[in-house]
Amino acid sequence: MSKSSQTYTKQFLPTFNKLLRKLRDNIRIKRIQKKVDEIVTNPYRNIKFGAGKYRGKREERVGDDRIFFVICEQCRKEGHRIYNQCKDCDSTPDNMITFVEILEGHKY
Amino acid sequence: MPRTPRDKAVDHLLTIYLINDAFSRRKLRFLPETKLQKLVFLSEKSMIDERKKGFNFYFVKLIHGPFSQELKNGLGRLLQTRFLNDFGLMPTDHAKMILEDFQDVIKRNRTFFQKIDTVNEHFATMSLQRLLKLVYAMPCGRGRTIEDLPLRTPMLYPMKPSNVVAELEITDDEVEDLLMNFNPEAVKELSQAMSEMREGRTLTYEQVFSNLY
Repeated sequence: MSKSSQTYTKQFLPTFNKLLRKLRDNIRIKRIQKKVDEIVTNPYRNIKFGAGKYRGKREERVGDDRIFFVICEQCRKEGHRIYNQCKDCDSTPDNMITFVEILEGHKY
Repeated sequence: MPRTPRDKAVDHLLTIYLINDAFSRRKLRFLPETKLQKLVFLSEKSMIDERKKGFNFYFVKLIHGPFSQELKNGLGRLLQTRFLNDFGLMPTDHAKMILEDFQDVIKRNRTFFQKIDTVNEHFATMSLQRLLKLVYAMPCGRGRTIEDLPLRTPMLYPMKPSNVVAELEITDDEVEDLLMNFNPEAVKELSQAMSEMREGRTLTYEQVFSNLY
């Protein structure tokens, strides 16, 4: 699936925001911001889905941390709505990327 | 030998597999914790007898025979992260999902999981009383049985690396994927995020990244 010509928009869950602020480490925060920008520019490189409870969410490593996100078009295509259960699914465009959470390295 | 994060991840996966097999294939409706302790003990013993490093629990002899505090703690974690139900240790849908997602690990290490299948086949449906009797009567060297051993005698412990003939094959990435599923704090954060998704609560890029540094 290559959609690099398409433009993506982004939104963030409050949990992502809370965990980002909890880091209190500018280097890690900047790294995550850079990764978010990269993902939005080209979300279909390094496709790796989470497993178990993280099913239906894509994950990317940022140093020792991982960030989880969902691309609406991919979620619909792969039948992941059952795992993500977004309230506004019917009204959200395909090109939306939702950043879900950050998992710090020491938690796995 | 202290258990490594890898050992813990493998122990959790094998424990979930054993419990799920006991319920789904052996049709158990309730699994007492004492029985689980014995089933894991027998599985680990059958692996160690062939110098296979699968389960890594430390077992000592207590009043009801072999007991592992690490297994008890692990069970607490599996209950806390909702892989098992409080009532009767029944596996939840999350347990089935994790077994599906780690099918490759199970296929790659068939001989380890077959040991568990065999133990469950012989002992899972046996009454607890009969199982305890059988375990007490197991020989443990010098003509003694498990029943003869003094309390707190170490019975099983992780093998020294030099004694291991075969080790359960699992990649670092798979270990990490397992550990994040078994971390109560991480699971709590995920569940919080899932609620926000269901409620449609979102923030913009500017709200998240402004005034951060």
